[in-house]
Amino acid sequence: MTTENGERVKQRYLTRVNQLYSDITYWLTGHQELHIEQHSVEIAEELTGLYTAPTLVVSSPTDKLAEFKPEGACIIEAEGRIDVLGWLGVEYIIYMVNGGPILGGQQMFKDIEADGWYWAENNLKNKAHFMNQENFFKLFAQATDYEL
Amino acid sequence: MNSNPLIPVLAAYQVSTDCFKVAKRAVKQQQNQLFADSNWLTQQNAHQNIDKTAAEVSDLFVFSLWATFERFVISYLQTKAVGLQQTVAPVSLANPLSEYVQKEMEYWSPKDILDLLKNIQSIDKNAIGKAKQILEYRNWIAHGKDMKKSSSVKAMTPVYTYQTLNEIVNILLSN
Repeated sequence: MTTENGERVKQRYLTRVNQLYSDITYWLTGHQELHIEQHSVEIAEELTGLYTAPTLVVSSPTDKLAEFKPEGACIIEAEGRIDVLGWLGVEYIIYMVNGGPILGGQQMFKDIEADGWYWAENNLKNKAHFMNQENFFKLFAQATDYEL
Repeated sequence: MNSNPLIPVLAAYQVSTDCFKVAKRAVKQQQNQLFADSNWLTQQNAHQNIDKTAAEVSDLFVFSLWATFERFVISYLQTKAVGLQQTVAPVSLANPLSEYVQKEMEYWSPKDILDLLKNIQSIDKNAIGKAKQILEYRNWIAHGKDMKKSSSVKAMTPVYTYQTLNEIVNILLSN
């Protein structure tokens, strides 16, 4: 059974996911060749219980380029994760708070100033990029080989 | 015990993911000669198989990382238990006790082992807490990501998992 706190965490996460999708849709308005549609995915977490979250699929006229797939609100040292299942590979968008994770007593990602969605590079460079249009385009190219 | 055992695990994961990218680009460029002696009949087939395998490798990376970490920590504690041979009286009990403790360590629960590590002053208690969460995440994956058995938490990225466990390994290497 979902607790009151679990319900709050879930709703907060879904609101943030939908806000990011709105931003992505807006950032892609100049790319009429791309098709965007939403589907859904089920997520089960101990705190939030079972719920449905929206996925966002971006396709070119010939290929499915990327699917943005929410993984959950309960992430170690963060408040949410969305996997970008790109044509080429997987990238990770994380909702960072309070400067992000701590490693060895220091901020793991130096570039985190405000709370929000960040593209966290899956390597030892410890780089996280705030999700604005410029960084979204870089993330998209990294996951799909498709230059926007 | 002198080298970090997690580094080769991370390197293998990174090489695997890079190989998948190269293979996908080769498939897209319709280099059909590259399909020779493979089980792939079509490009679509190849692409889907690579996607599934990449997801599997990502999970296996977490397993392998945890297993390597656990083995390292148990071996570390076993070397410390050897010291019982010099400190226990009566002397006739020292060797059997040391050997018994070392043998039993193999069956200690990972959570208890992590709690024991908290006694090392240079280890951040938060790092132990995060390692416990990674253990829960590993267990959830091990049970097939069953929707009926909810995960309590997940890791940010596979490399985050490495870095969290690596922080503890580095401190043990220096102690």
